[in-house]
Amino acid sequence: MTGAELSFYLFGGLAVFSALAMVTRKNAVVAAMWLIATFLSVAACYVLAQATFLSAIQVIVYAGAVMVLFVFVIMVVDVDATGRLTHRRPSRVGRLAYYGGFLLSAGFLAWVLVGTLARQYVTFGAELEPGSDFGTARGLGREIFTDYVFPFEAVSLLLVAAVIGAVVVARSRKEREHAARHLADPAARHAAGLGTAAEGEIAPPGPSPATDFGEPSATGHRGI
Amino acid sequence: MNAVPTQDLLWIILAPLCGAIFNLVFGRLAMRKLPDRTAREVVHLVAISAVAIACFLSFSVWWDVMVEGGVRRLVQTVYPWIFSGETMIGFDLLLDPLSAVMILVVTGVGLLIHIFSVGYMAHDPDYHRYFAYLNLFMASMLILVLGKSLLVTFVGWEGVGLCSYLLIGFWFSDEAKASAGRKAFVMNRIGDFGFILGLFALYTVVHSLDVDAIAAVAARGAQSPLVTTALWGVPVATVATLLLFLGCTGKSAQIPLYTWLPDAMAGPTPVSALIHAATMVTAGVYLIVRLNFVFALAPLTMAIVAVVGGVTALFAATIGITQFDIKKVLAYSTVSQLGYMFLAAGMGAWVAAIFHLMTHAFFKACLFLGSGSVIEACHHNQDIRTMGGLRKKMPITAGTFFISCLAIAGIFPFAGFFSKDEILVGAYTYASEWSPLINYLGWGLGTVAAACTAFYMFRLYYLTFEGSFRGDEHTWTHHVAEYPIMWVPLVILAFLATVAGFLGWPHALGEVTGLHLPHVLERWLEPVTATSARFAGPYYVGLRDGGFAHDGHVTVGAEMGFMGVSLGVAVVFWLWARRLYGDGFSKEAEAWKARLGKLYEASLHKYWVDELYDAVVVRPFKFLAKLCYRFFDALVVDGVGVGGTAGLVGWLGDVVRVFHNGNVRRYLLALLVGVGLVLATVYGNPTVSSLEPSAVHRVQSRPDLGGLRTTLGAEPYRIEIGFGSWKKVIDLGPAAPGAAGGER
Amino acid sequence: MVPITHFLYLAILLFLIGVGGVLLRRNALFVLMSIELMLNAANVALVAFSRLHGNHDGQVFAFFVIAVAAAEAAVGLAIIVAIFRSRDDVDIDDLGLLRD
Repeated sequence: MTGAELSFYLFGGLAVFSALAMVTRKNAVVAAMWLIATFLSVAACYVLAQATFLSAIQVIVYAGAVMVLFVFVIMVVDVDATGRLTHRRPSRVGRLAYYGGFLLSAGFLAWVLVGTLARQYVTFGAELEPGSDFGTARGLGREIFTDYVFPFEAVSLLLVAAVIGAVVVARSRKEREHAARHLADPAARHAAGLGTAAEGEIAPPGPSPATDFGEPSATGHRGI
Repeated sequence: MNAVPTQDLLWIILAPLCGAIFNLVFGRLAMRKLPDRTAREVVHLVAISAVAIACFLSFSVWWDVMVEGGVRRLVQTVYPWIFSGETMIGFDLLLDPLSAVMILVVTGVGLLIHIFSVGYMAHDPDYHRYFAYLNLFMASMLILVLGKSLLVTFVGWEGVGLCSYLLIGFWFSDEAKASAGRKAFVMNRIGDFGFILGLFALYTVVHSLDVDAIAAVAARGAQSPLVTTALWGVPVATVATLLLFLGCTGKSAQIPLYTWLPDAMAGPTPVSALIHAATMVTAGVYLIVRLNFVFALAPLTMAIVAVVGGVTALFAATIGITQFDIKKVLAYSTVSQLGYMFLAAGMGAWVAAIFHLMTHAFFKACLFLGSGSVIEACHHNQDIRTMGGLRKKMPITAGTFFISCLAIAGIFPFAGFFSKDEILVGAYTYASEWSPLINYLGWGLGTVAAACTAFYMFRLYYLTFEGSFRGDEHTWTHHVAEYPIMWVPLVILAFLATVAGFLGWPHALGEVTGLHLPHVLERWLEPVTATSARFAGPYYVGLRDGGFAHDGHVTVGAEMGFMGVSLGVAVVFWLWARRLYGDGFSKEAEAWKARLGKLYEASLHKYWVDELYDAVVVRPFKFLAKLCYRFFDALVVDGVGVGGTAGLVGWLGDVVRVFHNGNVRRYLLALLVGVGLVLATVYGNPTVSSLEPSAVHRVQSRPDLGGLRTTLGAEPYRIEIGFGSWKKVIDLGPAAPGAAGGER
Repeated sequence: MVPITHFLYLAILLFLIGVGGVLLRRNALFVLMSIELMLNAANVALVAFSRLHGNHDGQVFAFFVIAVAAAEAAVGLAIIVAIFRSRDDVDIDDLGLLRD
């Protein structure tokens, strides 16, 4: 067993282990940490598959940016560690069927994929020349900016839209009201998700706990 | 030759139809928007002028074309109605002597009754509806009469049935009247069922329902396929005519389907006069005479028709003797008189049947209208026990009523005398396969019925108009006066009832009196009856060999004998009725009532026929209907069908709702299970799972990422899909190797 | 040299763990993290195939997946924040509001 193989199994095992740990944690912060561990392990595996650029991206984007976002949100949301399991427990039969269905289909999926893959791809990748730019930023960049330039631009647009959308959705009602204070146009107010109260007047932040989706009111909708 | 445009024939029908449509569509509007008096004026003027146009056209076409022009047949093709394969049924109208008589009677009497209705219905809120129905009836009746094809006749047949139903149940808010209408409709349906089956039977042989075509087939007499073709071992002619006769018993209120007619008196009295006395109920007689050549080929049917007619004549007459409702008496009288017509038709005395049809239309319409006047005057009281002495208050009505009574009783020289005499003579002298038994039977029944007729008609007259008034004071003092609009039609009808008989002046009477008038009607109808008159052998229609035939006529002696008998019987019973009822119910009448006992009871209760039908037919049917309703409707249709479907859908919805509960995780689980199933199907398939890895390798080299990557110059590749023994190869990309002309 | 197959095994395992996380956890944050894990598993497979074929297509695709995953995480987390603000709870089983 070469060093490369050894490190693959090591990091692969680590990835699986930390993924399992992530799923099973109760505390979201801890789970996020385990997820970072998984991502890092996967990044190491990328290196072993000669995807060096992607490995870097994995570390920077995933383990860095995305997970930081996650941790931030977890801090904001701040659910207690136990979660809320007291209400809406499905019936015993329902739970049994649910978990049974999950185990059955997941097991089957695993069996089929592993079984067929094992028979069909017991093979190694092509040998690479020593000086090839496979997996490097240069090689990948050449592909991206030639054949895949259109999807690339599309994705960048998607990212911008997602960021703006995230900002709009995540703003609190108070923030939105503040932003719309100088909007006399009802349409603009509507666009801001504030509904159209009386002309030029701001809906009073009264006791009605309107939802943040712009519905009229969701009072009494807790726990449908 | 053809002085009148042929459209006139169609307009005879269209005129009343337009009137009906106008009153149906605009009548309600007029009644609501216009002042009451104006609205009524509009409604009845439209209705009456519509009928008047039809009447005028009928008379003009009859006079100009048939009498002056000498054209005996006028056929108008309106439009080809039904095309289906070889079947071609045209909506053709036929004016021949028979239908000419009918349209003249129908439009003439109809016009008078329309005029009378203006007075009778003057205060009815549904004025427009009444006249609309009446006009619709006129149109239907004229279609019935003028139809050249029997199917067109059938349209009219159904139309008059419908109008009859609508008009009997005209005051439908009264449950009894509404159910009387239903009864008439159902009874007629039974008859119509026979009618249409009879049409089918005829069609199987003739392959046409055109009257001329049927006549052409029937003209071959004994060689006609109507006779030689058998249906269940019976000649088609017999089967078809029996079925048609069933239709006639329904429409013309003969035994066994007569019970609806007395109940039909629930309708307004002018309706009774028009539909249930003068016109519609005679449709059966018309049909038999129209198809006389077919009936003549079926001696069995003829005998049945004659016997049924004779029995009905007597049966209904005996019921009429004991009734107290003025209209009921007249209703049973109608049934009885229709029985006479069928007796004549069954004996082959076609002319006598039509003759009596015509005279009966006059005097019975007059009687009914007179009874309408009486009922109107007595504040809608119909019970003759509370009448009497009305002659002082309404002399014209009484006079016309009396004339009509004379006519119907068969007193010389009123119309009924001639027509009834001709029937009785025909019944005795005409040939039949069962002669002379059937002659004695028919003549006997007819004569006894004639005696009863004279008795109950004069009983009715005396109890109503003579003696002293038996009702309350209020009715007597607040008596409604006679209006011209009501008595003018009465007078006209009474006049017709007096003179119409001279159209059928008997030959023998000419010999005796020296007044040789021609038998107008016989000559007139000669083209209609010509075909059947040529039949011989068992199908012979005419005088039988009994020693009283002389030169094609009944000998003078025999004729005078019959006349004497019927006249004598009529006079005797007239006088007897006068003695019993001349001044109210006499003691002698009570004595007779007691003496007859059970017989009187039976007659009073109409022989319990209604009760019998109720027990034998209606109740089992109701039970059956209830059974069907309980079991089939409620259980099968509502329960299993409707409820079951709804329940199944609801249940399926409940089942599906478990999956569709908005729980994202369950959706995901379902997705996972689905993917698992798809993979299981694909990889569980031995063909796929046994594919060599190289086979899979061949599939892809540079996957085209859904068109994202440029495909210019991409290598072609092929996909092999196999499932079981089925295998398909798909070549993709430009110029696939091995494939002739790859697709782009 | 590591066989591609083993990369795929790794991908499958990670994917199934992700699926399990989505299906078994009710906390929206965990669900989102599990989805990230599943995307990563797919990336592993893509990279492995890219290595197998010796071209960059798989890696380019994985690159795009990372970008989309970032966008998805941003929006998803924003929604979670919004839900939390209005409901004080991020249990996805309770999020049936749009169903009715």
